[in-house]
Amino acid sequence: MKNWLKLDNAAKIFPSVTNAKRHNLFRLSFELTEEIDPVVLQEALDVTIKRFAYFNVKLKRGIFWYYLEENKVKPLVYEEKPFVLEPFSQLDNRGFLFRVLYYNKRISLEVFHVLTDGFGGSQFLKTLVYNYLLLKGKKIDSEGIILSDLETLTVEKNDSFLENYYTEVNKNRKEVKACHIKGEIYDDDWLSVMTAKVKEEDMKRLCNKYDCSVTQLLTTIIMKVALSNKRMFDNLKRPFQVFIPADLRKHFPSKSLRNFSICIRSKISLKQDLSFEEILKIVKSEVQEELKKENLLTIIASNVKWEKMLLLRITPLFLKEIALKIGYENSGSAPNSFCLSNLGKIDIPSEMKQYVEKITFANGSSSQAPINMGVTKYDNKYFLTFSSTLVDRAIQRDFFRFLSSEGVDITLETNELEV
Amino acid sequence: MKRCPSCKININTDRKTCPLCYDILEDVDDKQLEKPIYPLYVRKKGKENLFLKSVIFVCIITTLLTLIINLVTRKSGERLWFPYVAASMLYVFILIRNCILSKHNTAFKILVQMLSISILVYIIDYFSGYTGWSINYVIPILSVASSFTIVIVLLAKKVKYSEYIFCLISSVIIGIIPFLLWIFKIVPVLWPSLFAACFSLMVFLGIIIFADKATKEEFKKRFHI
Repeated sequence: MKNWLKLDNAAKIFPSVTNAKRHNLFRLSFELTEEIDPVVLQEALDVTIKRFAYFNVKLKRGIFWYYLEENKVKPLVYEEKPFVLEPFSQLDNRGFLFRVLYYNKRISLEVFHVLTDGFGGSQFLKTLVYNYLLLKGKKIDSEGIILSDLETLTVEKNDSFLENYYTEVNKNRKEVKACHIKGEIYDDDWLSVMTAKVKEEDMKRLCNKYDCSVTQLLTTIIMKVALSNKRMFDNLKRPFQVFIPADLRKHFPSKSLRNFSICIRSKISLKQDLSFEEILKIVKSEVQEELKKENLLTIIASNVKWEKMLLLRITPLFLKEIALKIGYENSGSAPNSFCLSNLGKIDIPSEMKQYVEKITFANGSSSQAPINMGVTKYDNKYFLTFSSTLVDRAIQRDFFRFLSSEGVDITLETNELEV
Repeated sequence: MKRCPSCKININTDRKTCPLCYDILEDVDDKQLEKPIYPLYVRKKGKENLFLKSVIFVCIITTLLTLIINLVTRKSGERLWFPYVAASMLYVFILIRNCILSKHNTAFKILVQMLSISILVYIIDYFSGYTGWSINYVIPILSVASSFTIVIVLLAKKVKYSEYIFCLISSVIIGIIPFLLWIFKIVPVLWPSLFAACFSLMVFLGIIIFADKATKEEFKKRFHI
């Protein structure tokens, strides 16, 4: 097997558009029931990285594209620092595109989006925690859920975007510029993280009451909160648009552990007042429309077509990056006001559940979308995490107040925001 | 565990005020957090590259001082000598920044050295009457020396396959300059440039023939479209 890989279609753009204002990182965390032993964690990482050889890479610059090459050094585990989702430095991180952190009872995985999406990251972290618990002497049957018990499949490194690219599909997807939140941001690029634990039964009750899915419900609440906080936005002529990453593995067969998700979107205008029910109606219809198979194929095709254009392919990387930066500004960054990423249910073997208290997911933020939300479901609980560089916390406050006013029991943990 | 009476949510914290609305929190139980949920904030230390900044400072000051002294004390018709200092300072800066402080691979450093020394000797030549010794002799000799150094590096050091490509590209660029000087007859003395170009070509072919498989795979990696 070759010891190098081309970047998948989604990843091709990230190295060129990642800068001090936009890190393209995300963090997944498993909180266990006992304090983490770093020596055992390092051994677990050594075992896990062998199964996930695809993660054992570093990013290199080619003449026409970036690519991934085998990283000959060993990945290390690090103690968490006060800063969440700090950008990766080639030197400090030994070239790796992920980092494994521990603190108190928590194991976290921070990943650069070039490597994989939330699904791939959660598979890696699940396996890491499973191996850690095994090395700690716990007896756990993997139940076919943990990948290190199964063979490495070559299809895991496939670019599923290319596999689902059809030339006859309509490749046009028009992007609408959205309004963005402006406000004072923390010094030192501090990212404030607020995680709320919500019972599944409360969410189910609300979803039944409004007859919608969890993602639709949360999107609607965010839009309602945005409406009541219009003052925070620039340019109200543009709509407030929520980007919702959708895991395409639910719609197309794929065992790929690389990026295979795209963003669907839903928008409202902040100029007129809408009731919760009116917003929900818009969100439901837009999301259902976006998730239609033809539309998903169009989104895939509209992204892949750039990669296939001969003129773009033969442009040297340093020129291509300029075009990619502009393209991303128009179709990736400008249309995004807020990103709501719902990873859904994180499945772990039943014998492992007694050792894992929480599973949380924090999305990174950028200067155009300074506040975002990550959602996970584990063991009858939902974990909603706001990550924000904004000092003003009106959005988080109104969001949680909405839920508590609907009778939802919330327990909040934050990373203490006064800096 | 505490509770905010205005937001009506429980907050697992030791804070006295609500992180969402700043109202005073009520205690739900007497338990304190055994450890903060996240490591406590510590101000970031700035990455000060003091050494490089000192070098830049010294180079700029020296250049400015010599420029002023030269212009003030110059007698009419006398040659300017500050360009020697300015070019040398620039070379020192490139030397420290690119060759000493950076982590680029060796072939790239050799290439940069060759180009910067060439520019330095050309400037010295130009401002000292321009007899052409720089482009006639020194630059081709530099080119041969650089190609030779690349060969020594390849033989002596256990070079990663990826370095072969850089060595190839470097040796081509190192050879092209005297080649262009020779073919367009820019220089009055031709044989040093021709020799340098041929030497470079030899190194290039040697790398391709002797490091064939590794080079091919590296080529595919770096040049895939």
